[in-house]
Amino acid sequence: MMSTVIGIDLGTSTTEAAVIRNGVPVMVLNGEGEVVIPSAVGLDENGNYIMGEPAKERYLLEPERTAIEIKRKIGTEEKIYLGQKAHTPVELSSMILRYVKEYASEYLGEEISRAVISVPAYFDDRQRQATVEAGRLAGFQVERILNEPTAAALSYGLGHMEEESHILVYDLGGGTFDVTLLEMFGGVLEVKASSGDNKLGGKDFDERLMDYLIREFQAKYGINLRRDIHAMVKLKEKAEWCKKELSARDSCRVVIPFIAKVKDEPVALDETVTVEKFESLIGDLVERTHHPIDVVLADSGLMPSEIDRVLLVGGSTRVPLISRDIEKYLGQSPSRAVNPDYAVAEGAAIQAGMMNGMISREDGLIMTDVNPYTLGVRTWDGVTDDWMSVVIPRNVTIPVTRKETYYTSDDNQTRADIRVYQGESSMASHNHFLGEFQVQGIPARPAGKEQIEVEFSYDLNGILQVAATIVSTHSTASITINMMEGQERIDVSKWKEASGASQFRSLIRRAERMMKKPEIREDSFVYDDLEEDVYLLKKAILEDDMEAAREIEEDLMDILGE
Amino acid sequence: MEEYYKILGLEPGATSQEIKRAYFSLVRKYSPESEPEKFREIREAYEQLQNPVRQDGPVFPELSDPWAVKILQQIRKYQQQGQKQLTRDACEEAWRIFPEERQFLYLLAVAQRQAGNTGKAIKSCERLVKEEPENRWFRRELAVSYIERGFTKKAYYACKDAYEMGCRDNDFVLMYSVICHESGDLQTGISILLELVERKKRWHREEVPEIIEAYCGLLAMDALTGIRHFSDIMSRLKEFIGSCSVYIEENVEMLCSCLMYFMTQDGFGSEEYRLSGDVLSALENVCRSEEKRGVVNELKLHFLYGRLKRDPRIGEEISRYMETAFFMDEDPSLQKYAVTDTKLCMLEKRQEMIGQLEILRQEYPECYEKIREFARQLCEGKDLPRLKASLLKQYISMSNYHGGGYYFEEYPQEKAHVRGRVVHDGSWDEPYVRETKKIGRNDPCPCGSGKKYKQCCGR
Repeated sequence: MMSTVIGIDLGTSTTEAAVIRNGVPVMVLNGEGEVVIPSAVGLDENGNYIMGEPAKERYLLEPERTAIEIKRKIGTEEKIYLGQKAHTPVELSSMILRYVKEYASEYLGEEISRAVISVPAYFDDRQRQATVEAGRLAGFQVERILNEPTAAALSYGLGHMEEESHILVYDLGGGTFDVTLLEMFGGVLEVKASSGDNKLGGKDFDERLMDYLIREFQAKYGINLRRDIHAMVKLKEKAEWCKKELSARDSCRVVIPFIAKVKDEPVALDETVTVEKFESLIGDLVERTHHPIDVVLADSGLMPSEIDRVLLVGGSTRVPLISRDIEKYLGQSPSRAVNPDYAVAEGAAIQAGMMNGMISREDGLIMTDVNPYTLGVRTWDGVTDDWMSVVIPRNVTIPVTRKETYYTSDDNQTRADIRVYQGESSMASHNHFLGEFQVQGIPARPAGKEQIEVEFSYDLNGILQVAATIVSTHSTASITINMMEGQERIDVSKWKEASGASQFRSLIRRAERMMKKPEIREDSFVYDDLEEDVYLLKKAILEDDMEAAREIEEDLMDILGE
Repeated sequence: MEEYYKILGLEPGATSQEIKRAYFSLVRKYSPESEPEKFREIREAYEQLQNPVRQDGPVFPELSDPWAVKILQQIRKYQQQGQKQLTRDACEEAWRIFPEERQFLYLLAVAQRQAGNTGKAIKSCERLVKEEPENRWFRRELAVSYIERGFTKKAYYACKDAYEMGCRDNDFVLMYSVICHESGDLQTGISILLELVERKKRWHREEVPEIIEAYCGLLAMDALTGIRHFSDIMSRLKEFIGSCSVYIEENVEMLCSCLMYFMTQDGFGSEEYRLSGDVLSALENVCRSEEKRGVVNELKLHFLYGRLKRDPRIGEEISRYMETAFFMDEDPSLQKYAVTDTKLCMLEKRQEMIGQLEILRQEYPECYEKIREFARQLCEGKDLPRLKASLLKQYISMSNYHGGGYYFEEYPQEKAHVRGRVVHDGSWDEPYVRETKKIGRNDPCPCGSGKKYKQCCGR
């Protein structure tokens, strides 16, 4: 029997976990008997980290020492402060995952160390890498990163194996929006197209509601509540509550006593929000979901009438306006065949179960996936050298291999830079740069007479192989880009013991002192540069690479203004 | 093709439902997870059979000689690898061995053209057409060879023949329309393109750029005939944008640069502008990303400016102001100079301007926004002499650097008021001779501040 693999839905506002028991997914409970765990991390008075519900409660009292909505920042270098301590989004996510690991181990009575973690389909590879990194820091062996809509479809598909249908998964979570179109046929789940908006979710609805309440309050009392962080925290909680209430009722009265003082008299916020008002506030946000739907329909070549089922996933789909909007836009009312909160975690557990054999091959679904972003190389198109030449278009079933032929653009050109990009813009520089390499030894001939064949191979684990071949000489150069693997940082704490350390000691001390200054910490650009350079310098010293160390020393001097 | 059927375990000619069933049952057996290589193969076969590539061409009788079949396979291989010279040489050899097989001659013609030997390609094609005059593919190839060789007149007739015989693929129709354009047969060009854009309601992703190109060609030719079909074209374009909204966004630069050209053309009346405005708002609806919106906005500015410039009620000064405000933003200092120049001209014509600004405010709100502050000052008419003096002062100091401008040209008497300052009129031919005595550093400043010159304007 192989060890248990857990499925985790690491969400913007909540996190859930599930495992396979007797061939069906079962949700995992924490010590308090909760399934839905708020994705919050806090620091208590004793300097201990707290996670989940207690952290979320603490957010009301001590917002400065609590982090929420971490997922929105994952994949960026932004620092999140708990008290005085700076954390990266990856570190905070890993704390939540470690918490999941602990309670799941306790609940299941065995040490859990392998996991399938879900991410929005529209996450780019930076965000995916950061998620894998967080899992690794938490002590998990991350078996697979699974797209959330695919997970939801898996959880639906397991109970409907014989169905032949087109399914549109509409996943509106706390912070991200995903649409995926799948085809179920003979026990195979084929993803046809994915799209989305990774900056749209229920939190934006809350924000609109807060904006409205603040505006009304300011109109009445002339006080801007935005300046008061504690008032904002209370408001945020109430806005969230109000949004949930309005899913079931026609109007909702928001009362927050003693929210501010007018001439030393405490005043209360007392506002009644009707469903109509709320819907007019979020109308344009809901409309933003149409474009991704158009994209998946167009890319899969289907008409709205050909969709057999619309699955709603994510807590925010409980807002009645969403169902009405879908009905109007696609001409059919959405199905509630899956639990919007649990479906993703269940799907991740099913994937995990299929990987370790807890679900047999005969019972399991086979799944094919697509690459959500276009991949290509930067070329010269006759006008600009910033042209994104597409090699693998978006929404192509993976694994896939595609080939393109390019020609030399200059006379007697003997080498070519192959720069690999990911993204939808026709200008390469607007897309995300993945890597580059060079082919050398092209025979010197007039422009356009030599051909270079570029082959992209993209596999299920997100590994992209790019090979370039000079057609006339058959010489080849290649690069492998692993989109699932973060760049590992080595431990540099022992740099002082290395032989070349003495000459850089004062510089590193100065740089580290500078990094502690508050004005530097606020300027994330400078801070990140400093941090990176100090790390690289220590690494160079440890590796005894004095040439590199000298170069970094110059860079550092520039930043320090010397 | 047969290979693909074989991979899926089917007989050639299987229905799409059978193909689907075979594919999915094979995927269950060879999942991408366990056998990625096998899966790749199945997937490719499935994709090829589901939507066959738009690669049609002449149908030739089956080759009887096994040796010829082998050669053909080799040629196909070279073609796929993109080895143009090798393909050409192989075809030549094949045709030498089997001179009666037209398939090899046709392949040779294509290979010769692709390898750049257009003259030889024409010879081969002419021979093909002579042997089999009713084959449209041979005619098409001949026309393409003429085009690449640059024989416009011959190409025109060859295209016409091929089109009449039924060549209708997008590439060919676009080529034909360009040739019509070049030969001056605009009527035919327009009618074939109109037929092309009407053919389908929903286009494939790869086809969308071709259709946009067709619209560009239509507009270009229509402009030459005196915009006779303009409303027809625009309403179709609007529909096209709506039906292919997702793919339009990817190609919006192409469409915008084409439209931009026409919006700055002469012969546009208010009706044309109204229709273009509809297309523009359709484009705005389609483009969601920041970057693409920028492209559309740029077009919108050109559109507004073009409309404004042709409005007989709006004077030259205001459209000049908009030109500077919209398009000169890469050089802020020059922009400021030009704006000041125009503001001064507007001050001189204040009475006319008040009426025009009112039209601007009501009908061109985006433009009015740009000029709002100045318009308010002008209409209220408070402190006008002071306003003029301060503008003039800025203008003079900048004119030293930039030169040119309308104001002194139209109102040379104003120049006389300017004393003691180098006023450059834009010409550098003659040395400048100071009109008045030079002001000493310690003299009282001519601006009337009472300070010494060196401490006031002479700093």
